[in-house]
Amino acid sequence: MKRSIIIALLLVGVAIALLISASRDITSYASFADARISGNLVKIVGVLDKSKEMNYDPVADANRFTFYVKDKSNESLKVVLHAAKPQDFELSEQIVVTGRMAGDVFDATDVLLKCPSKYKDEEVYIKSKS
Amino acid sequence: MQQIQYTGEHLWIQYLGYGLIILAFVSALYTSLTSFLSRRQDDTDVKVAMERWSRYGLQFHAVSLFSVIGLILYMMNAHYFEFHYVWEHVSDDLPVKYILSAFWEGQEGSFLLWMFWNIVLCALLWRRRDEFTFLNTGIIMSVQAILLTMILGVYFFDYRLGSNPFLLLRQSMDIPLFKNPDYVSLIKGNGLNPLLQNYWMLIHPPTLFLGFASTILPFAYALSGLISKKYLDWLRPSLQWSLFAASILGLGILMGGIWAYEALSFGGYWAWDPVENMSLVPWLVLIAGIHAHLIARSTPYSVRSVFVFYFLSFALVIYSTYLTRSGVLGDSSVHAFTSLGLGWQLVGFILLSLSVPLYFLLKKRKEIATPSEEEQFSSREFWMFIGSLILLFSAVLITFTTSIPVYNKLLDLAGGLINQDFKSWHRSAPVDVVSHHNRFQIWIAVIIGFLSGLTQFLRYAGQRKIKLGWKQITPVIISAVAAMMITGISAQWLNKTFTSLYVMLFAAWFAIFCNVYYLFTLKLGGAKHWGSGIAHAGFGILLLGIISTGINRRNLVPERFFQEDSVFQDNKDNVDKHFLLFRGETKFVSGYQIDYLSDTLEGRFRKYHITLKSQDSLGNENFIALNPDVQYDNKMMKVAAANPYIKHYWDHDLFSLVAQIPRIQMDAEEASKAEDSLRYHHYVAGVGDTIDGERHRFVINASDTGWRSHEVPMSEGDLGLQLRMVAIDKADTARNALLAPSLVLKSSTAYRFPSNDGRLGLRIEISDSVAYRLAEERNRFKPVQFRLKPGQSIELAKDLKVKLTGFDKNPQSEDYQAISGDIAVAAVLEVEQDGRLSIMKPIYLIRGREELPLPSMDLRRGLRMFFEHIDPETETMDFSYSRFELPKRFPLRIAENVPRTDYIVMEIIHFPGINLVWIGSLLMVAGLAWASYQRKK
Repeated sequence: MKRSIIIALLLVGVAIALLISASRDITSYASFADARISGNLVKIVGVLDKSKEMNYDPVADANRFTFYVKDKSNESLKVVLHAAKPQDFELSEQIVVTGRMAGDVFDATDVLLKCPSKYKDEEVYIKSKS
Repeated sequence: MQQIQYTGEHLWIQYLGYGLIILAFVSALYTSLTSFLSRRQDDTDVKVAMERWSRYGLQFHAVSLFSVIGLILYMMNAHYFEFHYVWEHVSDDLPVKYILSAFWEGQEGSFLLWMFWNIVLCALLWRRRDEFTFLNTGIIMSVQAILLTMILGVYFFDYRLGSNPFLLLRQSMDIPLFKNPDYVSLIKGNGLNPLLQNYWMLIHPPTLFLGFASTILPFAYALSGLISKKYLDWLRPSLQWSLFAASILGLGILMGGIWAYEALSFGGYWAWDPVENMSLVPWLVLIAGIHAHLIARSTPYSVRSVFVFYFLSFALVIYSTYLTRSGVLGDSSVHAFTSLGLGWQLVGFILLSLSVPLYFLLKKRKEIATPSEEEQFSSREFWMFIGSLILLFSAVLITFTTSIPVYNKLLDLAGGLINQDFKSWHRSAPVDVVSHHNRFQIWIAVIIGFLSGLTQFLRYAGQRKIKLGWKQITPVIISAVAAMMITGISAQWLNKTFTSLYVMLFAAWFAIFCNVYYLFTLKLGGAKHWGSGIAHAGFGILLLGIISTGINRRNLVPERFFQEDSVFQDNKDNVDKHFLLFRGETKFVSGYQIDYLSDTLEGRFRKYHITLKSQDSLGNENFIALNPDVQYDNKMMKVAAANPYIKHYWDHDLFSLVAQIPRIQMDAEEASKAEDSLRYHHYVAGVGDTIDGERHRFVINASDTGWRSHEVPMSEGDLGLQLRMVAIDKADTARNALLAPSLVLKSSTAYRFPSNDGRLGLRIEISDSVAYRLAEERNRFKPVQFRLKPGQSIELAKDLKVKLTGFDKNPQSEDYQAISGDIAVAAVLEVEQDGRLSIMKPIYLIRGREELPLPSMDLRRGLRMFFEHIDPETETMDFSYSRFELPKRFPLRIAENVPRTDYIVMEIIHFPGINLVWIGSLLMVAGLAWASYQRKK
C-alpha cells in the first residue's frame, strides 16, 4: 500500500508542477503601453486602423508588411510584420499581434486575424448580381 | 401582416423532413426504453417481446434517420436554395462529387454523420451479440436521442432546441427580398468553402466521426458492466471494440494531419490547434484505457481505472464537440464551426456524459473487487499502468491549455452573477502555442518511448511472485546497445548535436529495436501480439519523424552575403521565410537555382510553373518542377486559398507555396482600382521619333501591319498595326526594354494590345483613334486581281512589278499547318517594290472541297498577295494583291507608374523525414486494427 501512495503523491506532485509551468505560458492580452514597459514578447488584441496607411511592397522586401493597429486602450501604433502580408487582411474584424516593442514601432512575429467568414454573413446572394 | 404566397418552394421536403426527424427522435427513445426494459423482465415471454420491439425500434429508427440524410442530400443535389442549409453549403457551380463534403461541412450534417455511424455501430454490435447487447443498444440510443435534439429545431418557450436542417432561408433571416413571392428564382447558393473542396474532405470527416462515434462502444460496455453488476465480464467482448475505436479515431486524426499538410498553407502536419488537440485528447485517454483494460484482462488490477478511462474518453469527445461547436473557441481556431446557439445544450450533454457514469461508479465502486496486494515492481502491469497515467498526464496538459477560452467564459458567467466585469481577467493562449505544447509533449513521448520498449519483455505477475530473468534483460540490453549506436548516426544525419537530441533519438530507436526484437521472438501462434509490436514500433518511428521534421525543417532562403538584422535574433525562423520571385529572373535559394516560368489560369485556379535546378557532386543537373496554385473564390472575385505543391522524395519533401501574388491578380476590385490609378500621358509620334516621357525616353524604331496572336488570329480583311519601340530609363540607360504595342481591326471591332514592361513599370498603348484611320484605309483599298502564267511578269503599278518564277510543292508558312488530304502549292513570286526585290509565296490550298488561299504578307510595306485560283486547262494562275498605307504618325498613351504584376512571393520548405511521421502513425493504426481483428476470434 505504501508504495502506491508514494507513487500517487509523486505523480500528483509532478502533475501540479507541470501545470504550474504550463500556466506560466498563458498570457493576458496586453496593450502597447504594457509592451513598452515590459519589453517582453506579448500578444496585443486590437483592430486594424484603417485611417492610416498599410504598406506591403514585396518588390522592395517580401518579408516586411507595415500597418497600424488600435489596441484596447485606443492607442494606434505602427506594427511591422516580418512576413508576407496575410490574405484577407483588410477584412479583419480583429487582429491579434504577437511581438515586442522595438523603438517606436511594434515588431510582430505573428498575426492572427479574425475575419467575418463569408459563411457567417447573413447576406443573400442574388443571381443577377454575378 | 399579409400572408405572401411564395412560388417555387419545395415545402413538401420541409414537412417530410420535420416529420422524419421527429420519427427518428421518438424511435430512438423507444428503442432505448425497450432495450433497457428487456433486461429487467423475469418473464421470458415479455423479455422476448421487449427484445423484438427493441429490434423493430432500431430498424425503424435507422430507416427514418437514413431518410433524413437522403432527403438532405437530395435537396442539396437539386440545389433547392430556399433551404438555409442548402443555400449555405451549396452553389450552382459546386461539382457533384463535393455534395457529400458540403453535407458535413455544417453542424447539422456532421451531427447526422455522427448519428449515422451510431446506427452502423449498433448494427455491428447486433451481429456479434452478447449479454450486453441490449444494454449497449439502450445506452447508444439514449445518446442518439440527445444528438437528435441538436437538430430538432423546436421551441421550448423561448429556447430553441437544436438547429433544424430543413429550415427555410426566409425563416432564418428577415430581409426585404422575401417580400418577393418569387424570391426562390432569384437566389443562388453560398457555396462550399474552397479550402474544403478537396478530396481529403471526402474521407477525413467520415473517418474522424466514425472514430468519435465509436468511443461510445467502450463507454457503453463499461456502463453496461456497471449497471448489470458484471464488473469483469464486459472486459472480454469489449476489448475488440476499444481497439477498433482507437484505430479508427487514430486514422481520422492522421488523415486530418495529412489534409492540413497537403492542403493548408501553414506548412506542417500538426499545429496544436484547439480542434486538433481535442481530437487527440480522447484518443490518448482511450489508449490509456486500453492499456488498463489489458492489465485487467490478465491480472486482478486496474479494473476501476478502465471504467474511469473509458468514461472520460467519451466525455472528452462530447467536450470536444462543445469546444468546436458552441462558438466558445471564437478566434483561436481555424476550424471551429460557426455557433448555432447550441452552447447550453452541449453543456448539458457534457454534464450528463460525466454525471451518469460517475453516479454508477460511485454507487458500485465498493462492489468492484480490488486485490489487497499492490502490483510488483518488476511486473508488466505495473509499468503499463505507469504508461497509462503518463498518457493521462499528456491529455490533462493539452486540455488545460486548450480550455483557456472556457475559463474566460466561466469568468464571464461568474461575473454576470455578481454583476461584475471580469474582462480584464481574461487570459489568452500561449504566445507560441506550438513550442508550449512541444515542451511537454516531446518529453512525454520520450518517456512513452522508453516504456513501450522496456515493458514489452516483462510478464504479467498478478498475485504470483515473479523475478526478472535474463529472458527479460537480454533483449533490453541488446536493443539499448543497438539504439545507442544508431543514435549517433542519426544525429549526424540531422546535423545537430545536443544532449537532449541524443536522449530523444535514443528513446525513439530504443522503442523501435525493442519492438522489432519482440516481433521476432513471437512465434506464428503469437499473431495476437503482433499488433502490440507493430503499433509500438510505429510509435518509435513516429517519434523519429517528429524529431527530424521538428529540428531540421528549414525554409529555402535567398543566398545572401550578410546576415539579417539583429532585432529578430530570437525569431530567425520568421525572417526571410518568404522570398520574391520575378517571372523570367533567376534567383538562388539555398543551393538551388529557382525560376518562375509562367502562370496559367485554369478554371478557378491560377497555376504557377516554377523550376528548381540543383547540381549534385558529380555535376549532374537535377530539375524539379513545382506547380503550386492559388484558388479564387466561387465568384472569381478574390483569392480564397493558396494551395501548396509538395514534391515527395523518400527521405524528404519539398513543400512549396505561393504566399502572395500581385494585388490586382488577387482581387477583381483591386484590379479595376489599379487600372484607374494609372497616369497616362498622350503623345503623337512617328517612326524614328523620340518621345520624352516622365522618366523614360521612347524611340519608335519601326511600324508594320503585322499581328500574330493565338487568341485573335488574323484573317482576310483584317488590318493590324504594330509598333516596335525601345524604352530607356533617363536616369539609368542600362535599364531599357523593347515594347511592341499593337492594335488590330477585325470587321468592325478594334482590339487593343498594350505592351507592358513590369521591370520599368511601363504600359504603352496605341490610342483607339488609330482604329478609325485604319478602318478608312480598309474601305479605300480593294483587292486587285491579276493573272499570270509561269515565267510571266506584270507591272501592277508604277512602283510594283511581279514575276511568277515557279512553284513550291511543299509550302511552309506560319499560318499553314498541313493536314493529310490537303492539296497545297505556293507560287514563288518575285516582287519588285520601290526598286527593292523580295520573294513572296502565297499559298493555294484545297482542303476538302474548299479553295482556301493563304496570303503572303510583306508587313513592312503593307503588301498582301493572294494565290486564288489555278486553271489547269489554260495553265493560268489567278492572283490578287492589296496594298495600303500605314499612318505616318501614331497617337500613343503611355503610363510610367504601372505596378509590377510579374512576381510572386514564395515559400519553400524542406521537410526531412516527413515520411517517418506517416509510416509511424500508419503502423500504429495498423497495429491497433490488427489487434482488434485478432480479438474478434
